[in-house]
Amino acid sequence: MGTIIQLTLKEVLRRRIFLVIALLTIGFLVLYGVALYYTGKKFVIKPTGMSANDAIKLVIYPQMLALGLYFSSMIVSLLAIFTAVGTISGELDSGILHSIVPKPLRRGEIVLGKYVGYGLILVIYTSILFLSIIGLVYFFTGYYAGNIIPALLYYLLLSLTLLALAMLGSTMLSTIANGVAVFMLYSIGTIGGMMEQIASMMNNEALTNIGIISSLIIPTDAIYRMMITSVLLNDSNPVNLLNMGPFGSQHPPSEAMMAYIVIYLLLALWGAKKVLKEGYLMA
Amino acid sequence: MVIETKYLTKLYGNKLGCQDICLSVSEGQVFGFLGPNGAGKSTLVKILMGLITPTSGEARLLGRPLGDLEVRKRIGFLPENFRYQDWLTGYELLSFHADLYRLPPNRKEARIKDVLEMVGLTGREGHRIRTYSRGMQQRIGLASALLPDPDLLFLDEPTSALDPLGRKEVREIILHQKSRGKTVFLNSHFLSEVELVCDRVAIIKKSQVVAQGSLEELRSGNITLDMRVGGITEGLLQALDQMGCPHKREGEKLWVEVAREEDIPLVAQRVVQHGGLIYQLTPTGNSLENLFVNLVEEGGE
Repeated sequence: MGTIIQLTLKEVLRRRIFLVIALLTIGFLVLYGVALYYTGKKFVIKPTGMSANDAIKLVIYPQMLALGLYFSSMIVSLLAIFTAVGTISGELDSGILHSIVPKPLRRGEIVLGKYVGYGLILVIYTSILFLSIIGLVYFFTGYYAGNIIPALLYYLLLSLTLLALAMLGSTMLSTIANGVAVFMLYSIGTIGGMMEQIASMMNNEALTNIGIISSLIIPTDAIYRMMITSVLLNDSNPVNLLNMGPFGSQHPPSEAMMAYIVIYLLLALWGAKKVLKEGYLMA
Repeated sequence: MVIETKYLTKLYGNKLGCQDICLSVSEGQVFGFLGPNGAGKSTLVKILMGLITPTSGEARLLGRPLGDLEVRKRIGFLPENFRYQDWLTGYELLSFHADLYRLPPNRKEARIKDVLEMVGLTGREGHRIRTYSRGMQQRIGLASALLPDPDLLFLDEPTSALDPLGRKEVREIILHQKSRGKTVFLNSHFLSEVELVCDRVAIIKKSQVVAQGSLEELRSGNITLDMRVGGITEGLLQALDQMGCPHKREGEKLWVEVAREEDIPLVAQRVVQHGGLIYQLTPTGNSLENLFVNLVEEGGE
């Protein structure tokens, strides 16, 4: 399996797309930093009563953080999807897998090796992105979100879950079909999550149910909600700001959801191995 | 037995990939597998290589059942649609495959050098595979199949991208393997190539094996002598009947069937003895190509 991991890492690092993504990410962070700078500046200049300003700060800054995390979670999600979307179907089409499968290694080792390889790169990238956002917010506004480590772990879980899903799709669908399918699932999750937010503000049961169902189909939005709860609602920030705005979380998902997500991830990987073994696309 | 298959069958829904394939190949043989496009050649090889699972039947490679991981260290495979990661150099690809084969580190370097030399790519291993021609890619594929010094080598159309010189080199590699007691299973469209290197051959048509045996056995079907003879008499024809040779006559054209090559001069002698004047005598039907064409044509036997 180590051989496959090594090869996967080499593959990502040698692809030019990696460089492009790195540059675009830097661009995003620069833009975000500039936005934060001007936000921070605005509240420093006004010399009016501290308490009023502080109250506003307590509302706006977390919103800025949530905004940054929301959009960067989208970036990370798309990255996870498009890295892995053609990893197996593409290699089947090209015939590359035909010379790997007959070697003395199990099908599961191929799937896991690729997953770990891509996963490692994703983890490093995601961590840098997450910490940059937290850091930028702190630097420009002085607002420090607590509970960073658990939040980071949720953030990583998000990309790793989508990675597993994309790999499963790659064993069954062509590259483009897989990309479309996983992206649409991700969109369903996102929209469903929004609906759940609106629903609990309005106490609308039907919308809440739709939201729950979509979370079961694809739990990525639930993971995001868990993360944002972890960041915004902790000892450093005793005020519950989660009711405000679409980037927060009305009702943070439960622990049962967490268990579901882990099972979901493992099932996706197991499914990928199983389908690959059947040789469905190999004939 | 190095390869043994018993009623190996693969169904794709209703469509037959291959049906009840029974083959056996012993050690040190070069075995040729022939058939028209879509007959099931590649299906069989893919089943044996573990790429697809059979619907029914069983097979053993080097005495072990399919799916045995340990025995794969001794099996080399060059796929029909060979493609390799073009962002790797030739050397890196061989290193990757050597690692997959779990070659011990102290043997790895030497083996890579050896196989590069065997396929004539020494000096090119530092370039990325995307710069290789198709023929070079096939060569590096062959090199990777030879890495573990395999006791059993599967070659699926191994010369499809090579020029005649390249094809000759591959034949030499096959014969070299054979001389060392290794076994080779060859899928090929090039009948002449198969005739030059193979000991035994099986022919597959519409997912079933229709002929199997040594080259000699298969080629020694009845030989038809295509003759033009002047002065054919009843006596001559009766003499042919006495020899047990079926014949057909149209004016001066005479077709005589004999069982073996050794009978040809006997027929010629008999015709001359009875006053026949032989203007033309051409034996036909004694090549693998003829056998193949006959078997594989629509409505063939």
